[in-house]
Amino acid sequence: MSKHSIQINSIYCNDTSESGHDEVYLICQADGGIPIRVPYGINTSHSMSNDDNNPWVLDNLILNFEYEVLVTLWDEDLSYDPNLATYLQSNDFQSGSGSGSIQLTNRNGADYTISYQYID
Amino acid sequence: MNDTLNTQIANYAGAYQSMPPQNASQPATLPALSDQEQQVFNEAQSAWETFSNSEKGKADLQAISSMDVPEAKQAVAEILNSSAFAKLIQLLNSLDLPASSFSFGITMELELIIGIEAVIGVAIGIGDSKGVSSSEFLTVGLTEGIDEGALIGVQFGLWKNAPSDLGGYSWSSELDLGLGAEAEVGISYTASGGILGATLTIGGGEEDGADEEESYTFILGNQGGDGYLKPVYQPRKNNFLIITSMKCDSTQSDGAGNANEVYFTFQADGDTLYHYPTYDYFSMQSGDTWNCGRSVWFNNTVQVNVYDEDDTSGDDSIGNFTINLSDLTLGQTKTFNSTIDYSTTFDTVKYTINVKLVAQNVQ
Repeated sequence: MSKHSIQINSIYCNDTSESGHDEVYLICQADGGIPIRVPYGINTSHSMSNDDNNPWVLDNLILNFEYEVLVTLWDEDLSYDPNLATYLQSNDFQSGSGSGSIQLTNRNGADYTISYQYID
Repeated sequence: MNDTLNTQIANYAGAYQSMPPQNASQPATLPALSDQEQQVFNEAQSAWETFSNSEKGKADLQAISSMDVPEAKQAVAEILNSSAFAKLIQLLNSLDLPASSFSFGITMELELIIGIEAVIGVAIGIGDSKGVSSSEFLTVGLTEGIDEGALIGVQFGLWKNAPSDLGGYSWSSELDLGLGAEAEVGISYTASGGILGATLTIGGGEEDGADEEESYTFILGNQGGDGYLKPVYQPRKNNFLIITSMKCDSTQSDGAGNANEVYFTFQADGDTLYHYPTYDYFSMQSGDTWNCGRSVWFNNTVQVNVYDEDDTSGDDSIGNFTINLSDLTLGQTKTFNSTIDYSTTFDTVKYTINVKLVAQNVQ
């Protein structure tokens, strides 16, 4: 039933939600369906800091959706318990075209930029 | 099958679907069952027939279909303690089996956009692992041609690994033992073809013509397999809206700074209650807008309740919103005001939400 596709190219950390690094992972949920975790696997994350000056380049992360896909950024605080994860921010992608980036911030200091490209 | 069990298993299915694709090499020759393994499976089949046809068995299985995952895993473990399985347990203790664990699980099929076959079960130590702690597990795999929402049968297993080491990927191929359509024996193996054990599945089981079935087992109750219980997946309904944003015009003063630690619950048509964010909160001050983008499937109405998280005195209600389909127009966004009247209270807390109807009558 998917009609649209968007590729998440990279995530850049402008600032973290805590001192040091955020252990970032994404939960991507298309049309309220099964939530998919990125990086792939259980208890996996990508360590990020503005000091690293190094974007998280996502390898072929293509999200297919009919109406929307909600991408949520989390900071994993205790690897085995998502109940203790810190919500960073989220963005809901609907149909569109071209490419772009969106900056997501919260009052804990988290500041991330998601770069994306619509495929169809 | 109830919504809670569905949505909880959906989280595990999502974790499984999130993993990178795997390729397995089926062993060149599938090992035959030993006489002792055959003896165990024969008794298991007999015990299951006795149990599932008894009044207690029927009631227990009916009850499981209305439980959530933590309740269901306990109930399944208790079934193995019932009198129908006493002879089987005695047999497992008396035989000198090379296996290290014996598993018993209830199989079910779920339609979660994709078809999922799940097994909720318990594994007990036998042979070299006799006396070690048992483990409760949830196995998920893809399936086709499902019988939606049904408890479909039972699966017994004899495994080389101890109960706590049964987690991870496995693949299974059927042994042709001529057991008929309702029962089948499969050999489970690792990606590299190492033999993990054998299973007897009664009711459902592998698809006809399927050479190889992939599945992933979560050991419940340990650090790697818990925490996926808060509902995220939503079954499809007739209509689809997005709570595109929430605006804070005035915070609730909770004595802990000038921000509210905001989260909200949403419930469509009185069904499953969801949290967003699923965990944690989003900190908001007066004038802030949170582009939360939370989509919701519903038929007629969605109740959204907003809270300020407060660890010391309990979470405070800071906004209630009732969204009816009749309030919305397809493709348009509407602002909703809270139905809580704070005008006579100390705080002038005020939150609004913007809601867009993106699909209507899709079922």
